[in-house]
Order: sequence, then C-alpha cells, then structure tokens
Amino acid sequence: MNLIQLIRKLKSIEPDPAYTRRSRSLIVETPMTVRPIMNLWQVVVRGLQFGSAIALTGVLLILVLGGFSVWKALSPFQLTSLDPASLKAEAEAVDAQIQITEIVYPETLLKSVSELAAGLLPQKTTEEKAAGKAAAVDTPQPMTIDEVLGKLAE
Amino acid sequence: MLDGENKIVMNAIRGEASAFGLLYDHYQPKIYRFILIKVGRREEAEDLTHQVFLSAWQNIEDYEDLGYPFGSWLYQMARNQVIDHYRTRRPTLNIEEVDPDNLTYDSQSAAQAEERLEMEKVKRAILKLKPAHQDVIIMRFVEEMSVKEVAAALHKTEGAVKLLRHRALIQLRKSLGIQNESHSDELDSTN
Repeated sequence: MNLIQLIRKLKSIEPDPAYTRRSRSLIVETPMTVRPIMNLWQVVVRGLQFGSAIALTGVLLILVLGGFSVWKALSPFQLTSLDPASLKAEAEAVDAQIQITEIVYPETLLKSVSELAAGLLPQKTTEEKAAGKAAAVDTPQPMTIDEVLGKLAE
Repeated sequence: MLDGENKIVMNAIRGEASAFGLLYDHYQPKIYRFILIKVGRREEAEDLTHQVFLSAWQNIEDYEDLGYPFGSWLYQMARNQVIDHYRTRRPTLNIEEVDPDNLTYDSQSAAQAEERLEMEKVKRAILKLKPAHQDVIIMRFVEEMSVKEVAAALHKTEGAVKLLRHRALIQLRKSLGIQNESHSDELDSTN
C-alpha cells in the first residue's frame, strides 16, 4: 500500500465522545478572563507613578554626575593633587637629569674572558706565520688606471 | 475552514460562548489527532487537547486575523502544549501504557485487526520522527492542510515546508521498510 494512503488512514482517529462532551461543557462554561478596564483615577495614578519614576531617575543621574564637582567646590579637604596649576609648577621644578654612567667591568672578569678567547681560537704554526709575512711582502702596490693601460699597451 | 469562520471568531472574541463552541466542534477532533499522534497516549492527548481549547478560550482576545484559518492559531498552541508536556513529563513506563483499544482484536474481523495494526505501525513510525517532521506529516497528510496553511501554522516558508515533507517521507519509508515508491504521492500534494 502507498505510504500516503497509510498515513491518511490516521484520519479515522476520533476522540471519545464522552470526553468531548465533558471537555466542551467545561470550557464553554468557564468564564472568559475579562481584563480590567482602568478608570480615570487609575489612569492618573499610573501616570503619576511613571512621572515620579522618571523624575527620581533624573535626580539620581544629576547627583552621580555632578557630585564630583560639588565635592571639589565645597569640600574642606581640597584635592591638591588634581589642581592643574600646582601640578605644572611641580613638574617644572623637577630636575630631570639622566646620566649614562660608564660601565665598569671587574678586572678579573675581563681577564678570564680574554683567556677563554685565546683558548678557543686555533693557534697558528710558525710556518703559517712566515707564509703570512711573505704574502704581505709579495702583495703588489695598487696601480692607477693609467698605469694599467700603459702596461697593456706595451 | 469553517463556513463563516471570521464572523464566528469575532463573536467568540466578544465573549459568545456558543460561537467558541462551534469552533470547538470543528477543530477539536483535528487538534486531538495532532496531539495524540505526537504524544502516543490517549489520556495525555485528552488532557492536552482540553488545555489547548481552554487556553484558546481564555486568550481569544489576543487572536489576530492574519488571513489564515483559526486552526493555524490552535495548531501553534497545540505544538507549544506538546513541547511543554515533553519538557515537564517524568519518564515512566508501566503496564498501563498498553492501550486497551489494542486488546480488542478478538471481537473484530481479521481485516479490521490488520488495518489497526498497520495504523499502529505508522503511528509509531511518525512518533520516531523529529517534531518538525511530525508536524508536517500530520498537518499535510492526515489533516490535508495546504502547504500555505502548514507554513502559517509552523511559522515557516512554503519552501521549507516542502523540504521538511520530503525529508519526513524519506525517514518514514526507511522506518517502515517501504521501498522507494514513485514520487506520485508527493507530486499529488505539491499545491
């Protein structure tokens, strides 16, 4: 049988007639919940409540935001650290001199470092030293471009 | 949709209990079926259906006519009732869960008994579907509502409803072990 036909058979499900009768009469006999309609006095009271709530919120905001200024003006404990003139004077009075002092290494440390470097570098043999000297002697003196051209022309 | 439904609904909103009675008579079997297939137990379906209509009567002033049948509003309430029911229900399983109606096959003919068994099988298969798939299957094929009406009741687009219907049918076929039929069953309901 086709699936849709099978599903459509579920349409034969019906509620129990006794239950339907009972439920219907219970619902229909239940009074509708009537929402109260406000009279003029209630409207005025509701309006006053709302207005006073807004006014109190405004007062609170003014107190919070303006409180600091009022405190500054009226308080016997002046907050000198927040006075811009005194802060400027104080800043000008500070003699800011920054010196880089010479770094002094302890003598023993320098000695040990030089010894360590000498130990790490390979020691040159006497022949290498002699060859180095000979190479230094054989190295030709730098020539000018005119001399090079003259030599080539010969 | 009930004949002259708009007028009846307006009278019910004005507080006429008899007008609401007419709406009850027309929609109560549909809502009951919808709930029963979704919860699977007769007693729970009866309680929930009663709650839906009681709530509808007490809040009928909130109903807004958006051009859909009054039933769409009732289906929304029924869906919410079922969701609340599953949220608050304690998991129980006892002997009383056996539906007494299922035990009366002896007095019925074999054909009737077979048909009842088949229906029970389909009901169980629908119960295994996701809630959104269940809603579409029941509204579209059991109650034969149009795609537009189903979309209105489920707050979905018509395209989404068609997609849900397609997926739900695939799931149902799989669950019932039915081979993939020709799509004539879906084509006949594309409106």
